[in-house]
This record gives sequence, C-alpha cells and structure tokens, in this order.
Amino acid sequence: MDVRAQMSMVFHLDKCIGCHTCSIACKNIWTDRKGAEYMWWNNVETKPGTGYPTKWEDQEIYKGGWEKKDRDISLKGAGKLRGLMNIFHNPNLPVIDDYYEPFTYKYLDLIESPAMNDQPTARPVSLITGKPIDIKAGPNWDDDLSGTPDYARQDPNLKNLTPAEQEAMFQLERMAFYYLPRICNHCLNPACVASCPSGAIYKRGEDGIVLINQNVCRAWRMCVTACPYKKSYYNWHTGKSEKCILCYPRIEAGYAPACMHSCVGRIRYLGVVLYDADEIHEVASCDEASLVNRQLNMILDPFDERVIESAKKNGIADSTIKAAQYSPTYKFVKEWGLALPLHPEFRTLPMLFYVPPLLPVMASLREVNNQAQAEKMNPTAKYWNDNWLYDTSTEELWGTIDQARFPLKYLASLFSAGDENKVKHILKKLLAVRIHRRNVTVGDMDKAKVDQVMKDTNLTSEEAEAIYYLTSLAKFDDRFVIPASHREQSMEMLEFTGDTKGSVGFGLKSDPLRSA
Amino acid sequence: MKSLRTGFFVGVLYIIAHTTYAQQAGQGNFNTFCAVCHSISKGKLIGPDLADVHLRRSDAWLLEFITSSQTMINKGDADAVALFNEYNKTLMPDAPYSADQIKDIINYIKSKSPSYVATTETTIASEPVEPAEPVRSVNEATEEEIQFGELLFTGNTRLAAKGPSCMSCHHVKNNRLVGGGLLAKDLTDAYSRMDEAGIKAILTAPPFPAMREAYQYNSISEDEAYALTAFLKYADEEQYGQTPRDWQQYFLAAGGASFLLLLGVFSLVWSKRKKNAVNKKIFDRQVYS
Repeated sequence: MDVRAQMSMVFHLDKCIGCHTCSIACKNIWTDRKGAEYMWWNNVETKPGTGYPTKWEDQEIYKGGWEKKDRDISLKGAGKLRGLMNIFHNPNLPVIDDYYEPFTYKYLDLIESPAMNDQPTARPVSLITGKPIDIKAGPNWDDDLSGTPDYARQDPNLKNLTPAEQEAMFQLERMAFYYLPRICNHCLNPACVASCPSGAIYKRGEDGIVLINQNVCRAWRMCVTACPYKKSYYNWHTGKSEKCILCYPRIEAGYAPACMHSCVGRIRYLGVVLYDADEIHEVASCDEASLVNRQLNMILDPFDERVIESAKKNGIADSTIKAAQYSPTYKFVKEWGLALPLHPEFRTLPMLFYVPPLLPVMASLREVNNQAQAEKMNPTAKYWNDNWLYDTSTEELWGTIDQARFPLKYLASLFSAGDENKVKHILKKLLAVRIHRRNVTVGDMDKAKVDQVMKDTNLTSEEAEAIYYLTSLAKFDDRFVIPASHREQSMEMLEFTGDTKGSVGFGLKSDPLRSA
Repeated sequence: MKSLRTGFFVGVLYIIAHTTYAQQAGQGNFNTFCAVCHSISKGKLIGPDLADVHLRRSDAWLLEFITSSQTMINKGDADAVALFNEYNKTLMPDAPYSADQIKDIINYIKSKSPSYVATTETTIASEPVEPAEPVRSVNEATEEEIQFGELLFTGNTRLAAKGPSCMSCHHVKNNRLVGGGLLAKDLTDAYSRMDEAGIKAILTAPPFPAMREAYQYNSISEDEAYALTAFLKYADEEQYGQTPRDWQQYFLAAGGASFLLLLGVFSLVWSKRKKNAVNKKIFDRQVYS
C-alpha cells in the first residue's frame, strides 16, 4: 500500500445556479493577462450542450485521454511514438474558434463620440488581433443562445440515446437543463503529465495538485491534446501552456480556492482524500464496466489503522490525516456514495466528483385531461390550455425516476461510463433525503412509506440528517477542510533552522519570502 | 644596518638567479615556438635567419612584431610590410607569451648571435654537435609514399596519434580529392612557399594557434610528416591543369530535391490535421457585417 494524499473536490450540481461567479473569480485572479483572454480555467457549461471548447467530450475529434489496449493503456492522441511523429504539427489541437475568439468593446467610442443625431455604438474588437470582429461565439455560447438545436442537440452525450428519446428531451414542455461547472480534475493518472515531451507537468507530491512548470514548458502543446477535459490551455503570448492550479497559493495559506470561496450556490466542497497509489495502473487499465467502482475503491478509509500507519510511513503529516477524516469529499464520495467522477471512461482517474442533479428527474410529465381544472379558473386568469401534468407528487415513490423527463442514460454517459444503475441509486438516495426532510418539517407523509424509502436506499435517519446538513446548512469550515501545508518542512529543506548567530557555512538558497 | 646588507645580497642573488632563469626560459620558448621557422646563424627557413637581428631592428620594434606582426602590418609599418612581402606573404603567428617572456626570447637570440659571442670574453664551451642524421629528401619519395600522404591528408587513413586529418581545415586543388576545408590556408602551393624543411617543421611542431591546439596531445610522426610533405610537393607540382569536380552545385541540387521530398512527405503526414473549428458550418452560415 502506497498511501498518498490528494486534494479532491465535490461539486453538488443540484445547487448550481449557473451564475458564473466562480469563472469570474478565477479569471480576475489568474487569466486576466495577455494571451490568456480566451482561457477559462473554471467554466460553467449548460447541459445538454456542446460545452467549451465545442464538443470537448468527443474524443474522436480531439483524441484526448487514454485508450485501453489489452491489459495496458496508452494515450489516444499523443503517445510516445505518435507524439514524436506528430511533435511538429500536433494534428488534433482545438483551433481558437473551438474555444472562442476573445473580444472586448471599444467603450471609449461611446465617451468620446461627438454630438450626433444617432447614438454612438461600441464596436466589438478582437483581443487577439485588436481589429473589429463579428462575434461568433463566447465561453458559454450554449447558454447565451438558450440551447438552440445547433448547440444542445449536438451534445456528444446524446450519442447513445435513441432518436425518439432525444426528440422527447427537446419538446418544449419536457425541456430540462442543468449546469456543469468544470475545473481541472487534478487526475490520479493525468494524461497531460504523460504526454509532455519536456517533462514540464508534474503532480505535486503533498496534495496531488497538477502543475505546469512555466520555466520548463517548451510549447509542444501535447498536454492540450492529451487532456480529455481540455483543461490545459496554450498561452499564445508567453508561449507556455497553463492550467488550473487549484489556487495552490491560497490552499497553502489555508484559504479555499477562489472559485470555491466565491461560489454563490455553495455547491463546492474541498477536502483531502487518501488513496492507494499502487493501484493506479491496474485501475486505469481495467474493464470499463468496473472502472467507476474500482476508482472509488482506491480511496482509502482514513480511520483504518493500517491506512494511517502506511500514510505516516509515506511522510503524510498527522494534520493531513486528520483533515482526511473530516473531509467533506470523503463523506460525499465514499461514506454516502453520492458523488461520481466526470467521464471516468477517459481513464485519467479524475479527482473532481459530481453529485448528479436531481431536479429535472424529480418531476415527471404526463398527458392528462386538464379540462375540468381549466373550467374552475377565473375567466380573466391566464392559463395555458394544454393537457400536461407536471407531477411532483411522491405517490409513486421511485416511479418519477424511472419515467424521468431527463433520461438516466444521459446522466450515466456523463458520470458513470454508461452505468445507469449507479446514477439511479444516487438519485434515489437524494430523493430519499428529501422525503425524509419533508417528513421531518412538514410531516404530511405516511410513516410506513418514509420507512420504506429509507430501507430501499439503506439510509438511517442520522445519515439522512448528515447529508442534509452538509448539503444545505454547511458552514465554510465544513465545506472546505484544508490541512496545514507544513511550510516549515519545506523551509527546512532549504536552510538549517537551527542556525545560531555567528555560525558560518554555505547557505543553500536565499531566505524564503515571509508574508506580512 | 644588518638588514640593509642582507637585503642587498638577497637582491643580488635574485638578479643573478632571475637572469639565468630568464635565459633558460627564453631558450625553451624559442625552441618550441620560433625555431620551427627561424634559425640563428643556420640560414633562412620559412622566416629569416635571426642572427644579429637586434642590430637590424630596435628592441621595441622586435617586441611589437613578435607580439602581433599582423597588427603591425595592418598599421602599415614599412619594415613589417616589406618583410611580409619578402616572405611570400606568410603570416607570422602571434606569440602566446607575455612581454617579459618575449624579452627573454630576444635576449636569448642576442646571446646566440655572432656579434654577441664575439664581444663576450667568456668563451662558451661549444655544445657537442650531434652527428647530423642523413635526412631523406622528399625528392626521393616513392609513389606509394605520396599515395600514403594523400590518404593521410584526406583522412582515409587516420593519423597514428588520432589527430584530425588535414582536409578538415585545409584545401588542396587536385583531381584526386574532393574539396577540402576552408577554415585554414589553401595548401596547393605550400611547397613552393615554405619548402620541405618548413612544411615538416610546421607538421611536427605546429606554431599556429589552432593547429597547435589540435595536435597538442596527438602530434604527427616523422614518417607521416614525410609522406604528407611528399604529397604536398606532388600536389604543388601537378596543380596546373587540375580541374577537380565542383561538388557545390550537386549539393545544391540534392538539397532542393530533398526539400521537395520532405514537403511532399509532410503534406501527406499533415493532411489529417484538424484545421477548422468544429462549428465551422454554423460560422459560415452567419452573415458578417
């Protein structure tokens, strides 16, 4: 057992309101620079939709991630031999229009315009060329265009749905959507690290954050191809690739990353998990059917004596082990089994987990005769003369999930490599917590029914309360459990802290900069 | 008082010791650096005989000339230019020594010059003259030896001490050779310019900085020097009417052909490259202002 610590995230999709505050917080801190205008280390996508860059999930276009070969895996687009053959032309890179051409408006024209009969206009100009452009796309064009058929229906996750199922999703009455915020997954088996010909990308030992060394990067851009989530970006001004750094300077100082700190819906959770690094190769190359389960099994129980012992042997600090025991990520992912990785079939073992959204699943839509109801309405009242029933009742218990207007197959394609039962189980659990809370606060439900629900999902009322607390009431310190970064240890690697006044010798490095 | 006297003796001792040492140092440096091209009272080699040179030129002039003859020629010093022209415009390499060391060398030349020997009362016991070894002239070189010299020159046969072959820096115009290097002097007429003794001397103890560096630890043997000299003599005599093939245009043509080939290969390899945006159809549909 080779126990290592990993900073791991959970995004609770039911809580995301798609406000993009996270994206803006990240942009203001990290990518508000020349050459980085088009980058969104954090972005929020509307699903169904094609995402950013367009159709990033379709690896037949971008050739990202790993491919299973016999009992091994190899990079799909930029393996050793293929990478070398293509090193000078990199055939599968997204072009700038796959992201979008960044733009601003000539606001000064509004201020400096002379008095005219017509109002002055601020024309859009490209942030790359500086010339006026016609805006073709934006970072979340799917949402900006309210899910036109051009975008929503091109979603690669619809591939496995029958044409009838797809059609049903886009009927106006049945239409549903949700938001998918994305950052770098800080994978356990990162394809970007494996693809870099310069060896510039590395996974930090102490917390598993994946970083690009800007001094070593030689602009081969293999990481841009290799990352199946397209979360490594090439800065055309500096000639280096950049990616989400999980705000490591903030984490080292004990603060939550900017996107998580600013999150309005409080959907984001951050904590340490301990995992067994010996299993990485085996799990990454296992059968697709068992991929999710085995990835989740890699995460170890931080209360297990053997795990703690191995962790200490690997130099993991006591404070980190303690943080792992209080980790909200561990609770969501392992204890309650509510969160799943995004596209595990890319085999990078992503360490950002999502609680799948329940909202569009909770209600079902049925065709009924609304005539009697309509006649009761005041003649001046506005009502739609249709025969649809948006059914949020809990009469049928799990029926709503099976007949959901949002097909489970779609969610399974995103979160469980196609395993519908996995998603269904989680949605049932989430629904059970709601039923439990409704019973507690409203109390209008049949006791036997509630017990049946809890039994079906193997939930105790204590567990349901705990899930409810961490989902809805959690305070800042519950959502972000960040262990001390032990900077004093890294300092000791640079200088002998036992130095006394008057001692002589050769210093290794200059003194570390201290914060005020 | 006592210390003053001690100081005086120490001073005297130092001066005596220094002079002796300087003369020895001068002799050593003369032998390694100057003797290749110059003799004292033994006639002209590549450069002039240096006997009584101190009577012909001032010490300051000698120092400046030895330090860097080229600088002096470029400055237009009449004597220096005259010398340069007289000796086939062969440049004398700059001495890699300090001013003091050069002065030592000049002193050494003085001490060996006939005028100095005549005026000093002390008779220097004449060094036992070694019986002159009969040196075989390159005129007697056989065809095989010339052939061997050619192989050594081109590097087809490696020099015994693994030194670099001549051709890497020098060119000789001859039908039997492909063009040589352009880093150092064209050696086609080296034999006319420097004669047998000069060439052999340069080969065995190179005075030129780059060449000295190259053969510092892997010097050319006597036999090899003989063969090379014989080859250079042959090349010199045969130089007229030689029309070696000009490979340059072939190289140019080959370069052009491989460029086109690579262009073809790359356009094949690159043909699968993703060039357009995924949404190109949508973008193309838009009406632009």
